[in-house]
Amino acid sequence: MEPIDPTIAAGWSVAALLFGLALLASLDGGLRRGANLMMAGMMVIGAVTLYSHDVMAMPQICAALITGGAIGLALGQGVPRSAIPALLTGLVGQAGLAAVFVGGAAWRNPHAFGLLDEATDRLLGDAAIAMAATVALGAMACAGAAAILWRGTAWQGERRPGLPLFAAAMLVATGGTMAGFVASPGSAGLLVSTGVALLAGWGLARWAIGAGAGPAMALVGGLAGWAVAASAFLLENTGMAVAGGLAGAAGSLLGLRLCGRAGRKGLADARRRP
Amino acid sequence: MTLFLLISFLAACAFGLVIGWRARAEEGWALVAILQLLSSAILIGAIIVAAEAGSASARSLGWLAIVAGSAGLSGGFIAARRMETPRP
Repeated sequence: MEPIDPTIAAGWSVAALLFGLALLASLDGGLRRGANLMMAGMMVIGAVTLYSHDVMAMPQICAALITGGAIGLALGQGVPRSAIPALLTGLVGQAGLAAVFVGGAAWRNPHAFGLLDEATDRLLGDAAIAMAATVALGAMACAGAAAILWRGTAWQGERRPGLPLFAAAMLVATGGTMAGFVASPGSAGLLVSTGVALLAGWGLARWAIGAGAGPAMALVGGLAGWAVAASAFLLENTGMAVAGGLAGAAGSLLGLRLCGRAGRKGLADARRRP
Repeated sequence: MTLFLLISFLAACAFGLVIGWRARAEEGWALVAILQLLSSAILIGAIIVAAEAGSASARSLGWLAIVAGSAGLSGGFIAARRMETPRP
């Protein structure tokens, strides 16, 4: 095991602490404070990443950062207050799309990230798993956000009986296609896995939105978090693993809890009927 | 490195589960706003990809991911600040 640079370890620890404090602040009603702490944490892991990597093409990276920042600024300030939930949904889907791009870039150029076995020149098993998970979870988050936006964030729908079955079947199929990609890595396998994951994300969000847009949004945020965690294992970045683990676990549990509560309420209402 | 990564990830998952368990339904959107900001950490992965990629296609995907991640981070930050009404 390679020793870790103490400066990098200190940076990741500070970022993890800031992320934890931000989550706690959001629970205590201090959303502004939470957002500020989260931004500070992001700046720290960004600085640690730039410190620990040989960065080529810095002008292009800065241009892309500024362009994205300007788009985010325009969206964040431009939308009316009532449309902020829809904006957050879209931005979570965008994070999922970014995860698909990251996974795709690693697939296109695995040599640059040390993902190939030096003896056989084949994709390493753990790298293939992380790559397939990054792309599939990113696609699920993207499709889930699209499904919520399609219905509208204020929509309080009914649960269709076939949706859980469809979502479960698509989740199993996603796992199967991911296993196929890991066993025999190829562009076709990755594309098929992405396509099935899109259907799984759509089905999962359509099932969750029966309990309301909030639970569905928490679940999709959790999926985006897991995509970030998978990409952290692909690129071996601890800061991303912490951020992804926090978002994935918190979002998934909150989403499933709220969906379960809505399901029990629906069942109780049905039993109360004459 | 991988063991450190795994331990950090599992510790973060445990803390995330505590947060997800403690959160009340009425705090849902506030937590979603923070989760969106956490998901924007994909920006860091995008920077690594764009910085280290050797092929043009991989670098282009990295730049697209940076634009998406950066827009998510700044847009989510402003949206989260606007969601909470400032105290008088």
